[in-house]
Amino acid sequence: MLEYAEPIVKLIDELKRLPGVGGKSAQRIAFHLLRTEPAQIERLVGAIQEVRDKIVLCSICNNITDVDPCRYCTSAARDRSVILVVEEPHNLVTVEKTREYRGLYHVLHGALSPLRGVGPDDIRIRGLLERLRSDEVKEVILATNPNTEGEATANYVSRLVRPLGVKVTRIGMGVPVGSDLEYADEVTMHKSLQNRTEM
Amino acid sequence: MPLHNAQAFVLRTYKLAEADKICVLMTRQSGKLRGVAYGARKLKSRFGSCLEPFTEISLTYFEKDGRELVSISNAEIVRSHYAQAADSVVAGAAMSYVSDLCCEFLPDHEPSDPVYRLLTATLDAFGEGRDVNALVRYFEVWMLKLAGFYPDLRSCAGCGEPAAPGADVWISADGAPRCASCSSGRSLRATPAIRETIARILAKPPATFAESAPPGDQLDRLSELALLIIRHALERDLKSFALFNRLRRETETPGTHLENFE
Ligand SMILES: [Zn+2]
Ligand SMILES: [Zn+2]
Repeated sequence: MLEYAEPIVKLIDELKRLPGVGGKSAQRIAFHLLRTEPAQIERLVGAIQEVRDKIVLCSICNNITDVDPCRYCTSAARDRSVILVVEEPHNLVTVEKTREYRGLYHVLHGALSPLRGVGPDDIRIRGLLERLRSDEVKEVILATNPNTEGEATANYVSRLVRPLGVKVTRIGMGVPVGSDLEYADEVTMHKSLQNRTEM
Repeated sequence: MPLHNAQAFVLRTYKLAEADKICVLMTRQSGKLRGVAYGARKLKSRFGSCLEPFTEISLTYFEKDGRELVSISNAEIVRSHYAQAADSVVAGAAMSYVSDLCCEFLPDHEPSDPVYRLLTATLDAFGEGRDVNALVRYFEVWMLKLAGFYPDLRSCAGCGEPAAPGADVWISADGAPRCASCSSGRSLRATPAIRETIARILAKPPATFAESAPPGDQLDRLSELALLIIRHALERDLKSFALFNRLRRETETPGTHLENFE
Protein backbone atom coordinates (compact mmCIF):
# COMPACT_ATOMS: atom_id res chain seq x y z
CA MET A 1 0.00 0.00 0.00
CA LEU A 2 2.80 2.39 -0.91
CA GLU A 3 0.41 4.74 -2.66
CA TYR A 4 -1.17 5.94 0.62
CA ALA A 5 0.31 8.40 3.07
CA GLU A 6 1.91 6.73 6.06
CA PRO A 7 -0.75 7.68 8.67
CA ILE A 8 -3.42 6.06 6.50
CA VAL A 9 -1.37 2.91 6.07
CA LYS A 10 -0.95 2.83 9.85
CA LEU A 11 -4.69 3.16 10.43
CA ILE A 12 -5.48 0.44 7.88
CA ASP A 13 -2.94 -1.86 9.53
CA GLU A 14 -4.53 -1.31 12.95
CA LEU A 15 -8.05 -1.87 11.62
CA LYS A 16 -6.95 -5.11 9.97
CA ARG A 17 -6.12 -6.50 13.41
CA LEU A 18 -9.80 -6.35 14.37
CA PRO A 19 -11.74 -9.62 14.16
CA GLY A 20 -13.58 -10.12 10.87
CA VAL A 21 -11.91 -7.12 9.20
CA GLY A 22 -9.90 -7.93 6.09
CA GLY A 23 -7.74 -5.65 3.98
CA LYS A 24 -10.60 -4.33 1.86
CA SER A 25 -12.90 -3.61 4.81
CA ALA A 26 -10.03 -1.93 6.66
CA GLN A 27 -9.45 0.32 3.68
CA ARG A 28 -13.15 1.15 3.44
CA ILE A 29 -13.39 1.99 7.16
CA ALA A 30 -10.22 4.08 7.01
CA PHE A 31 -11.56 6.19 4.16
CA HIS A 32 -14.90 6.50 5.86
CA LEU A 33 -13.12 7.84 8.94
CA LEU A 34 -11.20 10.33 6.78
CA ARG A 35 -14.50 11.83 5.65
CA THR A 36 -16.05 11.82 9.12
CA GLU A 37 -16.61 14.99 11.15
CA PRO A 38 -14.00 15.62 13.86
CA ALA A 39 -16.67 15.59 16.61
CA GLN A 40 -17.78 12.12 15.68
CA ILE A 41 -14.19 10.89 15.62
CA GLU A 42 -13.73 12.34 19.11
CA ARG A 43 -16.75 10.40 20.31
CA LEU A 44 -15.45 7.16 18.80
CA VAL A 45 -11.98 7.60 20.30
CA GLY A 46 -13.57 8.56 23.61
CA ALA A 47 -15.78 5.49 23.62
CA ILE A 48 -12.82 3.21 22.94
CA GLN A 49 -10.78 4.88 25.66
CA GLU A 50 -13.64 4.68 28.13
CA VAL A 51 -14.03 0.97 27.57
CA ARG A 52 -10.32 0.49 28.09
CA ASP A 53 -10.26 2.60 31.26
CA LYS A 54 -13.51 1.63 32.92
CA ILE A 55 -14.31 -1.91 31.92
CA VAL A 56 -12.89 -4.63 34.13
CA LEU A 57 -13.68 -8.27 34.76
CA CYS A 58 -15.90 -8.92 37.75
CA SER A 59 -13.72 -10.42 40.46
CA ILE A 60 -16.44 -12.96 41.26
CA CYS A 61 -17.96 -14.09 37.95
CA ASN A 62 -15.46 -12.72 35.35
CA ASN A 63 -18.24 -10.88 33.51
CA ILE A 64 -17.22 -7.61 31.87
CA THR A 65 -18.39 -4.74 34.04
CA ASP A 66 -17.82 -1.11 35.01
CA VAL A 67 -18.39 -1.82 38.71
CA ASP A 68 -16.70 -4.63 40.60
CA PRO A 69 -18.39 -6.90 41.65
CA CYS A 70 -20.79 -6.70 38.72
CA ARG A 71 -24.50 -5.91 38.94
CA TYR A 72 -25.54 -9.55 38.71
CA CYS A 73 -23.26 -10.59 41.53
CA THR A 74 -24.48 -7.83 43.86
CA SER A 75 -28.17 -7.85 42.96
CA ALA A 76 -30.49 -8.85 45.81
CA ALA A 77 -33.06 -9.99 43.26
CA ARG A 78 -30.92 -12.80 41.84
CA ASP A 79 -31.17 -16.39 43.02
CA ARG A 80 -27.82 -17.15 44.65
CA SER A 81 -28.33 -20.91 44.64
CA VAL A 82 -27.76 -21.30 40.89
CA ILE A 83 -24.72 -20.45 38.75
CA LEU A 84 -24.91 -20.60 34.99
CA VAL A 85 -21.55 -21.15 33.28
CA VAL A 86 -20.88 -19.62 29.85
CA GLU A 87 -17.82 -19.39 27.60
CA GLU A 88 -17.94 -15.69 26.73
CA PRO A 89 -19.51 -12.54 28.23
CA HIS A 90 -21.80 -12.10 25.20
CA ASN A 91 -23.32 -15.55 25.86
CA LEU A 92 -24.67 -14.11 29.08
CA VAL A 93 -26.64 -11.52 27.13
CA THR A 94 -28.31 -14.30 25.14
CA VAL A 95 -29.41 -16.00 28.36
CA GLU A 96 -30.65 -12.73 29.86
CA LYS A 97 -32.85 -12.14 26.79
CA THR A 98 -35.04 -15.07 27.85
CA ARG A 99 -35.99 -13.17 31.05
CA GLU A 100 -36.39 -16.59 32.60
CA TYR A 101 -33.10 -17.07 34.31
CA ARG A 102 -32.71 -15.31 37.66
CA GLY A 103 -29.56 -16.93 39.01
CA LEU A 104 -25.89 -15.93 38.92
CA TYR A 105 -23.26 -16.38 36.21
CA HIS A 106 -19.72 -17.54 35.71
CA VAL A 107 -17.78 -16.65 32.57
CA LEU A 108 -14.94 -19.01 31.61
CA HIS A 109 -13.49 -16.76 28.87
CA GLY A 110 -12.96 -19.65 26.48
CA ALA A 111 -13.32 -23.38 26.12
CA LEU A 112 -10.84 -26.22 26.32
CA SER A 113 -9.25 -26.63 22.92
CA PRO A 114 -6.16 -28.81 22.52
CA LEU A 115 -5.99 -27.86 18.83
CA ARG A 116 -5.65 -24.21 19.81
CA GLY A 117 -3.43 -25.06 22.76
CA VAL A 118 -6.05 -23.99 25.30
CA GLY A 119 -5.78 -26.12 28.44
CA PRO A 120 -7.59 -26.11 31.79
CA ASP A 121 -5.28 -23.43 33.21
CA ASP A 122 -6.07 -21.05 30.35
CA ILE A 123 -9.74 -20.69 31.18
CA ARG A 124 -11.30 -19.52 34.44
CA ILE A 125 -12.35 -22.76 36.12
CA ARG A 126 -10.61 -22.42 39.46
CA GLY A 127 -12.63 -19.38 40.49
CA LEU A 128 -15.84 -21.31 39.88
CA LEU A 129 -14.72 -24.09 42.21
CA GLU A 130 -13.89 -21.51 44.86
CA ARG A 131 -17.37 -20.05 44.59
CA LEU A 132 -18.83 -23.47 45.30
CA ARG A 133 -17.01 -23.80 48.61
CA SER A 134 -19.85 -22.10 50.47
CA ASP A 135 -23.02 -24.16 50.75
CA GLU A 136 -25.09 -21.44 49.12
CA VAL A 137 -24.88 -22.83 45.58
CA LYS A 138 -27.08 -25.85 44.88
CA GLU A 139 -26.89 -26.08 41.11
CA VAL A 140 -24.42 -25.32 38.33
CA ILE A 141 -25.88 -25.04 34.82
CA LEU A 142 -23.32 -25.62 32.07
CA ALA A 143 -24.20 -23.46 29.07
CA THR A 144 -20.99 -23.80 27.07
CA ASN A 145 -21.37 -24.01 23.29
CA PRO A 146 -23.02 -27.09 21.75
CA ASN A 147 -19.88 -28.12 19.86
CA THR A 148 -16.94 -30.45 20.50
CA GLU A 149 -14.96 -27.90 22.49
CA GLY A 150 -17.92 -26.65 24.49
CA GLU A 151 -19.02 -30.15 25.39
CA ALA A 152 -15.55 -31.30 26.34
CA THR A 153 -15.35 -28.23 28.58
CA ALA A 154 -18.75 -29.00 30.13
CA ASN A 155 -17.63 -32.56 30.82
CA TYR A 156 -14.39 -31.40 32.35
CA VAL A 157 -16.10 -28.86 34.61
CA SER A 158 -18.83 -31.26 35.65
CA ARG A 159 -16.27 -33.82 36.80
CA LEU A 160 -14.71 -31.21 39.03
CA VAL A 161 -17.97 -29.88 40.41
CA ARG A 162 -19.87 -33.09 41.12
CA PRO A 163 -17.58 -34.28 43.93
CA LEU A 164 -18.38 -31.02 45.75
CA GLY A 165 -21.95 -32.20 46.17
CA VAL A 166 -23.42 -29.59 43.82
CA LYS A 167 -26.02 -30.60 41.24
CA VAL A 168 -24.66 -30.16 37.70
CA THR A 169 -26.93 -29.73 34.70
CA ARG A 170 -26.24 -29.14 31.00
CA ILE A 171 -28.46 -26.99 28.78
CA GLY A 172 -30.64 -29.07 26.47
CA MET A 173 -29.17 -29.90 23.08
CA GLY A 174 -30.91 -31.13 19.99
CA VAL A 175 -33.00 -29.99 17.06
CA PRO A 176 -33.34 -26.21 16.87
CA VAL A 177 -36.80 -24.67 17.22
CA GLY A 178 -38.35 -23.72 13.89
CA SER A 179 -36.47 -26.25 11.78
CA ASP A 180 -37.56 -29.42 10.02
CA LEU A 181 -36.70 -32.76 11.58
CA GLU A 182 -35.63 -34.20 8.24
CA TYR A 183 -32.64 -31.87 8.17
CA ALA A 184 -31.27 -33.04 11.51
CA ASP A 185 -28.03 -35.01 11.25
CA GLU A 186 -27.46 -38.11 13.37
CA VAL A 187 -25.41 -36.40 16.09
CA THR A 188 -28.06 -33.71 16.56
CA MET A 189 -30.87 -36.27 16.52
CA HIS A 190 -28.99 -38.47 18.98
CA LYS A 191 -28.68 -35.51 21.36
CA SER A 192 -32.39 -34.77 20.99
CA LEU A 193 -33.28 -38.30 21.95
CA GLN A 194 -30.86 -38.26 24.86
CA ASN A 195 -32.36 -35.03 26.14
CA ARG A 196 -36.03 -35.95 25.62
CA THR A 197 -38.50 -34.96 28.30
CA GLU A 198 -41.60 -36.67 29.56
CA MET A 199 -44.93 -35.10 28.55
CA MET B 1 -16.87 -23.23 -11.07
CA PRO B 2 -16.22 -26.97 -11.16
CA LEU B 3 -18.09 -28.98 -8.54
CA HIS B 4 -16.27 -31.75 -6.69
CA ASN B 5 -17.41 -34.64 -4.53
CA ALA B 6 -15.08 -36.05 -1.92
CA GLN B 7 -14.86 -38.04 1.26
CA ALA B 8 -12.99 -36.20 3.98
CA PHE B 9 -12.08 -35.82 7.62
CA VAL B 10 -12.56 -32.46 9.28
CA LEU B 11 -9.15 -31.87 10.84
CA ARG B 12 -9.76 -28.52 12.46
CA THR B 13 -12.01 -25.52 12.19
CA TYR B 14 -11.69 -21.78 12.62
CA LYS B 15 -14.32 -19.14 13.08
CA LEU B 16 -14.72 -16.79 10.17
CA ALA B 17 -16.66 -13.52 10.23
CA GLU B 18 -20.06 -13.56 11.96
CA ALA B 19 -21.28 -17.09 11.44
CA ASP B 20 -18.97 -18.87 8.99
CA LYS B 21 -16.46 -21.60 9.50
CA ILE B 22 -13.17 -22.39 7.83
CA CYS B 23 -12.43 -26.11 7.82
CA VAL B 24 -9.14 -27.83 7.21
CA LEU B 25 -10.13 -31.05 5.48
CA MET B 26 -8.22 -34.17 4.57
CA THR B 27 -9.99 -35.45 1.51
CA ARG B 28 -9.37 -38.92 0.20
CA GLN B 29 -9.39 -37.71 -3.41
CA SER B 30 -7.53 -34.40 -3.32
CA GLY B 31 -5.54 -34.42 -0.10
CA LYS B 32 -5.59 -31.61 2.40
CA LEU B 33 -7.53 -28.48 1.57
CA ARG B 34 -9.16 -25.54 3.25
CA GLY B 35 -12.79 -24.80 2.75
CA VAL B 36 -15.27 -22.23 3.92
CA ALA B 37 -18.78 -23.16 5.00
CA TYR B 38 -20.99 -20.09 5.01
CA GLY B 39 -23.40 -19.84 7.90
CA ALA B 40 -22.08 -23.03 9.53
CA ARG B 41 -22.10 -21.53 13.01
CA LYS B 42 -25.73 -20.47 12.86
CA LEU B 43 -28.18 -22.33 15.07
CA LYS B 44 -30.15 -23.60 12.11
CA SER B 45 -27.18 -24.22 9.84
CA ARG B 46 -27.75 -26.93 7.28
CA PHE B 47 -24.32 -28.28 8.18
CA GLY B 48 -25.47 -29.19 11.70
CA SER B 49 -22.71 -31.19 13.39
CA CYS B 50 -21.12 -32.32 10.09
CA LEU B 51 -18.23 -29.90 10.31
CA GLU B 52 -17.17 -30.60 13.88
CA PRO B 53 -13.55 -31.74 14.16
CA PHE B 54 -12.77 -35.44 13.51
CA THR B 55 -16.02 -36.07 11.64
CA GLU B 56 -15.74 -38.07 8.44
CA ILE B 57 -17.99 -36.51 5.83
CA SER B 58 -19.04 -36.89 2.28
CA LEU B 59 -18.91 -33.41 0.85
CA THR B 60 -19.55 -31.33 -2.22
CA TYR B 61 -17.43 -28.25 -2.79
CA PHE B 62 -16.47 -25.94 -5.55
CA GLU B 63 -13.29 -24.11 -6.38
CA LYS B 64 -13.23 -20.51 -7.38
CA ASP B 65 -10.53 -19.57 -9.83
CA GLY B 66 -7.38 -18.48 -8.13
CA ARG B 67 -8.84 -18.84 -4.65
CA GLU B 68 -7.04 -20.86 -2.04
CA LEU B 69 -10.26 -21.51 -0.11
CA VAL B 70 -12.80 -23.87 -1.61
CA SER B 71 -16.45 -23.33 -0.87
CA ILE B 72 -18.28 -26.17 0.89
CA SER B 73 -21.78 -26.42 -0.49
CA ASN B 74 -22.96 -29.63 1.12
CA ALA B 75 -21.80 -32.16 3.70
CA GLU B 76 -23.18 -35.34 5.17
CA ILE B 77 -21.83 -37.43 8.01
CA VAL B 78 -20.15 -40.70 7.10
CA ARG B 79 -18.94 -41.29 10.61
CA SER B 80 -19.03 -38.93 13.56
CA HIS B 81 -16.53 -39.08 16.43
CA TYR B 82 -18.27 -36.27 18.26
CA ALA B 83 -19.31 -38.34 21.27
CA GLN B 84 -15.81 -39.62 22.03
CA ALA B 85 -14.19 -36.23 21.65
CA ALA B 86 -16.84 -34.48 23.73
CA ASP B 87 -17.23 -37.05 26.48
CA SER B 88 -13.61 -37.40 27.52
CA VAL B 89 -11.17 -34.53 27.73
CA VAL B 90 -8.25 -36.92 27.30
CA ALA B 91 -9.73 -38.62 24.22
CA GLY B 92 -10.59 -35.19 22.82
CA ALA B 93 -7.03 -34.02 23.39
CA ALA B 94 -5.69 -37.22 21.80
CA MET B 95 -7.83 -36.72 18.72
CA SER B 96 -6.81 -33.07 18.54
CA TYR B 97 -3.16 -34.05 18.56
CA VAL B 98 -3.73 -36.67 15.87
CA SER B 99 -5.52 -34.02 13.81
CA ASP B 100 -2.72 -31.56 14.40
CA LEU B 101 -0.15 -34.05 13.12
CA CYS B 102 -2.18 -34.43 9.92
CA CYS B 103 -2.42 -30.66 9.54
CA GLU B 104 1.31 -30.19 10.03
CA PHE B 105 2.74 -33.14 8.14
CA LEU B 106 0.41 -33.53 5.19
CA PRO B 107 1.22 -31.35 2.21
CA ASP B 108 -1.72 -29.47 0.67
CA HIS B 109 -3.59 -30.95 -2.27
CA GLU B 110 -1.67 -34.24 -2.28
CA PRO B 111 -3.92 -37.20 -1.67
CA SER B 112 -2.50 -39.91 0.58
CA ASP B 113 -4.52 -43.05 0.87
CA PRO B 114 -2.24 -44.56 3.56
CA VAL B 115 -2.72 -41.53 5.83
CA TYR B 116 -6.46 -41.55 5.19
CA ARG B 117 -6.70 -45.22 6.11
CA LEU B 118 -4.43 -44.68 9.11
CA LEU B 119 -6.67 -41.92 10.44
CA THR B 120 -9.81 -43.97 9.81
CA ALA B 121 -8.43 -47.00 11.65
CA THR B 122 -7.07 -44.93 14.54
CA LEU B 123 -10.30 -42.97 15.10
CA ASP B 124 -12.30 -46.20 14.87
CA ALA B 125 -10.07 -47.73 17.53
CA PHE B 126 -10.67 -44.66 19.73
CA GLY B 127 -14.37 -45.34 19.33
CA GLU B 128 -13.93 -48.92 20.47
CA GLY B 129 -12.53 -47.60 23.73
CA ARG B 130 -8.93 -48.81 23.19
CA ASP B 131 -5.98 -47.47 25.19
CA VAL B 132 -5.83 -43.84 24.08
CA ASN B 133 -2.13 -43.38 24.81
CA ALA B 134 -1.14 -46.51 22.87
CA LEU B 135 -3.23 -45.34 19.91
CA VAL B 136 -1.67 -41.90 19.92
CA ARG B 137 1.84 -43.37 19.98
CA TYR B 138 0.86 -45.73 17.18
CA PHE B 139 -0.45 -42.90 15.04
CA GLU B 140 2.63 -40.79 15.75
CA VAL B 141 5.06 -43.44 14.52
CA TRP B 142 3.06 -44.10 11.37
CA MET B 143 2.30 -40.48 10.54
CA LEU B 144 5.93 -39.39 10.96
CA LYS B 145 7.07 -42.40 8.95
CA LEU B 146 4.63 -41.72 6.11
CA ALA B 147 5.76 -38.10 6.12
CA GLY B 148 9.33 -39.33 5.70
CA PHE B 149 10.68 -38.19 9.07
CA TYR B 150 10.74 -41.32 11.20
CA PRO B 151 14.28 -42.73 11.33
CA ASP B 152 14.96 -46.25 10.16
CA LEU B 153 16.47 -47.73 13.31
CA ARG B 154 17.74 -50.86 11.62
CA SER B 155 21.08 -49.38 10.67
CA CYS B 156 23.53 -46.68 11.74
CA ALA B 157 23.43 -43.44 9.74
CA GLY B 158 27.14 -42.93 10.52
CA CYS B 159 28.90 -46.14 9.57
CA GLY B 160 26.03 -47.87 7.80
CA GLU B 161 26.39 -51.01 9.91
CA PRO B 162 23.12 -52.78 10.75
CA ALA B 163 22.03 -52.35 14.39
CA ALA B 164 23.10 -55.35 16.49
CA PRO B 165 19.99 -57.10 17.88
CA GLY B 166 20.89 -56.60 21.53
CA ALA B 167 22.46 -53.14 21.24
CA ASP B 168 21.03 -49.68 21.80
CA VAL B 169 20.64 -47.21 18.95
CA TRP B 170 21.20 -43.51 19.63
CA ILE B 171 19.12 -40.82 17.98
CA SER B 172 20.54 -37.32 17.85
CA ALA B 173 18.61 -34.07 17.59
CA ASP B 174 18.76 -34.24 13.78
CA GLY B 175 16.70 -37.44 13.92
CA ALA B 176 19.48 -39.68 12.64
CA PRO B 177 20.07 -43.07 14.31
CA ARG B 178 23.65 -43.99 15.23
CA CYS B 179 25.45 -46.89 16.82
CA ALA B 180 27.27 -46.41 20.13
CA SER B 181 30.65 -45.75 18.49
CA CYS B 182 29.32 -43.21 15.95
CA SER B 183 27.05 -41.40 18.41
CA SER B 184 28.29 -38.28 20.15
CA GLY B 185 26.73 -35.63 22.35
CA ARG B 186 23.17 -35.71 23.60
CA SER B 187 21.12 -38.45 22.05
CA LEU B 188 17.96 -40.36 22.78
CA ARG B 189 18.36 -44.04 23.43
CA ALA B 190 16.26 -46.58 21.52
CA THR B 191 16.64 -49.87 23.33
CA PRO B 192 16.04 -53.20 21.58
CA ALA B 193 12.65 -53.35 23.35
CA ILE B 194 11.64 -49.95 21.91
CA ARG B 195 12.73 -51.02 18.45
CA GLU B 196 10.68 -54.17 18.84
CA THR B 197 7.63 -52.06 19.78
CA ILE B 198 8.14 -49.82 16.74
CA ALA B 199 8.39 -52.92 14.55
CA ARG B 200 5.12 -54.15 16.04
CA ILE B 201 3.45 -50.81 15.32
CA LEU B 202 4.58 -51.00 11.71
CA ALA B 203 3.27 -54.55 11.35
CA LYS B 204 -0.12 -54.41 13.07
CA PRO B 205 -3.37 -52.46 12.83
CA PRO B 206 -3.93 -49.88 15.61
CA ALA B 207 -6.65 -51.76 17.48
CA THR B 208 -4.50 -54.91 17.66
CA PHE B 209 -1.50 -52.95 18.86
CA ALA B 210 -3.53 -51.13 21.53
CA GLU B 211 -5.09 -54.39 22.70
CA SER B 212 -1.74 -55.63 23.99
CA ALA B 213 -0.05 -52.27 24.45
CA PRO B 214 3.47 -52.15 25.90
CA PRO B 215 3.98 -50.73 29.41
CA GLY B 216 3.60 -47.01 29.96
CA ASP B 217 7.32 -46.24 30.25
CA GLN B 218 7.90 -47.68 26.78
CA LEU B 219 5.10 -45.53 25.40
CA ASP B 220 6.77 -42.57 27.12
CA ARG B 221 10.04 -43.34 25.31
CA LEU B 222 8.13 -43.41 22.00
CA SER B 223 6.61 -40.06 22.90
CA GLU B 224 10.07 -38.57 23.59
CA LEU B 225 11.33 -39.88 20.27
CA ALA B 226 8.32 -38.39 18.48
CA LEU B 227 8.92 -35.04 20.19
CA LEU B 228 12.52 -35.04 18.96
CA ILE B 229 11.44 -35.80 15.40
CA ILE B 230 8.65 -33.21 15.44
CA ARG B 231 11.07 -30.56 16.71
CA HIS B 232 13.58 -31.45 14.05
CA ALA B 233 10.96 -31.45 11.28
CA LEU B 234 8.91 -28.39 12.25
CA GLU B 235 11.53 -26.49 14.25
CA ARG B 236 8.93 -25.90 16.94
CA ASP B 237 6.67 -27.79 19.33
CA LEU B 238 3.03 -28.72 18.89
CA LYS B 239 0.88 -27.40 21.72
CA SER B 240 -1.51 -30.29 21.30
CA PHE B 241 1.33 -32.73 21.97
CA ALA B 242 2.12 -31.18 25.34
CA LEU B 243 -1.52 -30.76 26.27
CA PHE B 244 -2.44 -34.35 25.48
CA ASN B 245 0.51 -35.72 27.46
CA ARG B 246 -0.30 -33.46 30.38
CA LEU B 247 -4.01 -34.26 30.54
CA ARG B 248 -3.22 -37.94 30.18
CA ARG B 249 -0.74 -37.91 33.09
CA GLU B 250 -3.21 -36.01 35.25
CA THR B 251 -5.77 -38.73 34.82
CA GLU B 252 -3.21 -41.47 35.39
CA THR B 253 -2.02 -40.06 38.70
CA PRO B 254 -5.11 -38.92 40.55
CA GLY B 255 -4.64 -36.48 43.38
CA THR B 256 -1.88 -34.42 41.74
CA HIS B 257 -4.30 -32.26 39.81
CA LEU B 258 -7.68 -30.60 39.71
CA GLU B 259 -9.58 -33.52 38.47
CA ASN B 260 -10.51 -37.10 39.20
CA PHE B 261 -11.99 -39.13 36.38
CA GLU B 262 -14.10 -42.07 37.37
ZN1 LIG C 1 -20.08 -10.73 38.65
ZN1 LIG D 1 27.86 -46.41 13.40
